[in-house]
Order: sequence, then C-alpha cells, then structure tokens
Amino acid sequence: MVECQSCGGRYEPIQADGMEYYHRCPPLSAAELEQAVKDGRVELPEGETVDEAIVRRVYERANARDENRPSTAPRTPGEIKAEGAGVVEIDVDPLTAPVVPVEMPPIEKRG
Amino acid sequence: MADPQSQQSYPMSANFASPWYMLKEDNLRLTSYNALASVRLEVRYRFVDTSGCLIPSQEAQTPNTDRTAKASIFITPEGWLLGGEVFVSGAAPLIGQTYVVIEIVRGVGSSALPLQVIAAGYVSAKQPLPFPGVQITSSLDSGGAIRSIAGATPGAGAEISETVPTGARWELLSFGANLVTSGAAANRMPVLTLDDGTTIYFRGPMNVNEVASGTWLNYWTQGLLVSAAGPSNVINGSIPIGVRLGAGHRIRTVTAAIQAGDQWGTVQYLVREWLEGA
Repeated sequence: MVECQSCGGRYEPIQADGMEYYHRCPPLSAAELEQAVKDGRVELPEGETVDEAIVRRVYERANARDENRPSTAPRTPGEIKAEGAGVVEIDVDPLTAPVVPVEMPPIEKRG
Repeated sequence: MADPQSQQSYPMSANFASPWYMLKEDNLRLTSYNALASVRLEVRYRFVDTSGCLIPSQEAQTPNTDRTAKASIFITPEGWLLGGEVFVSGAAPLIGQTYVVIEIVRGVGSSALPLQVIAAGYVSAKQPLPFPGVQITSSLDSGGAIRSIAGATPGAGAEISETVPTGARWELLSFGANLVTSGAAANRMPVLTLDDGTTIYFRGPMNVNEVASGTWLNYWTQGLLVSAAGPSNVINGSIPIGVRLGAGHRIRTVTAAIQAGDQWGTVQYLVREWLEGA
C-alpha cells in the first residue's frame, strides 16, 4: 500500500490479479476547490459558485502524479508521465485490507 | 535498404520444404505486449536448412508487465521455416492480457527491417499461437479479459478518479464505491463521469440525496434504467451499455455538496480489457 503525496490517495501498486495499478491524481473536488478559493489559490469567474464551477470545468492539481506510461513503444523502463510529489509506503490500510469472511467492511473516516 | 533481389536468388532447383524461404540475413522477431506479472513466453519452431537438415529451435522471452512493447530477435539459418508456436510457460494470462506478433525481419537489433508478419494474436495459458499460416488477429478482436479492480481510496473530501492505463482499452461493466458522509448537513449527490482525460462525455447521476452521517453504497451498472435507492443505503445508477474507454480516459466521481470530512472508499469496478497500442 502506498500513499500519493500529491493528493493523499492510497492504493496497492499490484492488484490481487497480479496486474500493475497506475495512479493518476483526481482533479479537485468541490470541497477542495472551495478551500482553494478561500486560500486565494484559485479565482472563480465573477458571480460563479463553487458548485457551478466544478461542473463547468476541471481543476487539476498542481504537481499531480500520473503513473501511466507515456507510450507502449519501448522506452526507459518504469518511466511515468508525471512524478508529482512521489509516494510513500504505508502499512496496509484497514479500509481496503482483505477481509475473511468476505463481507462488506465497515468504512470509517480517515483523519 | 539493400535490394533483396540482388543479394541472393531463390533456390528454384531445390525441393521446397515450405513456402517460407528465409535468407541467412532473415530472422524471426517476437514482439509482445503484456499486462500480467511473471509471464514467460516460449517460442519453438523447425527449419529445414539448405542441406536438408531438420533444425528444431527453442527461444524464450520475458515480456514487460506494463503493456509496453518488448521485442526479441531469434537468429535463424538459411532455409525453410516449417512452422512453430508461441506459448506461455509462466503465469496464466487470460485472452486479452498477452498479445504477440511474429515477423520475419532482415538483420538484427533495433534497426532490423520488418519484411512480413506471419502471426499475431493473443496467447493464454491454454491457447498457443501457431505460425505461419494462421489468421492474423487484432488485439481488439477478442472478448477481452474480465478484471475486477480495486481503485485508489482518495483523501478525505476528495473525489475518486480511475484512469485507463496506457496500452489498454476498457469496457466499463460496473463501478461501486462507498461514500461515508460526515456530520456536516448537506445533501450529497454523486455523479459518475467519464472523460477523455480532460473533457467529460458522460455523467451518470444518482438521483438520491445522500445525507449527513451515513454510509452510502453506490453502484453504477450497465443497463439500469433509473437511479434507485434500495435497503441499507444501497443506491443503483446507470452507465451506458458497451461504452469503451481508450487509454487515458478517466472514470471519476463528481459529488455535489461533498464536504471536507466526507470519505469515498471501497472502490471496486469491473471492466473488460483489451490491449491496444498507443
């Protein structure tokens, strides 16, 4: 399990079926955009609300991480589209760890 | 490029062992595109050289695991290629996960000149690819591999975003995720969007208000007509039937009135996957 230092997303780089997972940071949510507006990092058009803005355009993160390969042509092994702020290894997230017996795990908010 | 006609003439007086006569400079090239870890490809083939000797050969390649191309050239003698096959000797890829191309090339290395494709198609643990003389198939010609993918858990107050990997094409069959709402009063309404990496081309809203302090189990599936709420906060929504997503396209949530303390999680989705050069 790793945590993206650009967006805070957590994921397993290798899936249960043995295939690699490539993370790309999500655009800002309405809550994140609202905070960015308050912080003065984003300026909305005159009279436009955050709820309107979020459906009219996409607000990508500065320094977003994108682990997808630039091309399927042979290139530098492991090359990705954008490093962003990198990732750090973390302990297995109890929210997504395998559960036996198989049933819906409880979901708790992450701080 | 050297003129092939000027290098050597076809041995017209010889008994032809097969239609696949190859000069000394001609070789076989295996190019693979693979998405599964630990796959190993074996290539076995037989030649009859110009002295009439039957020569069996065996080669191997470990493909890349990120859908990028990996090419290997196998040096062959002058003579006639009788035939061969590519098969999997490690891991157990499904149709849709390991695609190979066999070519006759002139020369060696990255500058080798491709002369003719003699086979192309998927290989699996149970299905080798024979060559030559087999129908060449596109990497999009199969039923694809069914994959259930665990997506990333976004940070608190952030949205889900899943991206089709480079070298893949997906059909989205079903998408599920739980939204745990904070105590902040607001009616959240999730929308599943599909975009081309930038611009949204589909929005599938849940027409149910997801209120504060709840755990909402959202499922979007092909073919459902309307959004509907069931017991235990299960909410179903619809995605288009047969929608295909190219590399770089994204599956995202856009949640109206999402709060900073809300948490998306348990992201799991079902896709049909093909390999596609990009």
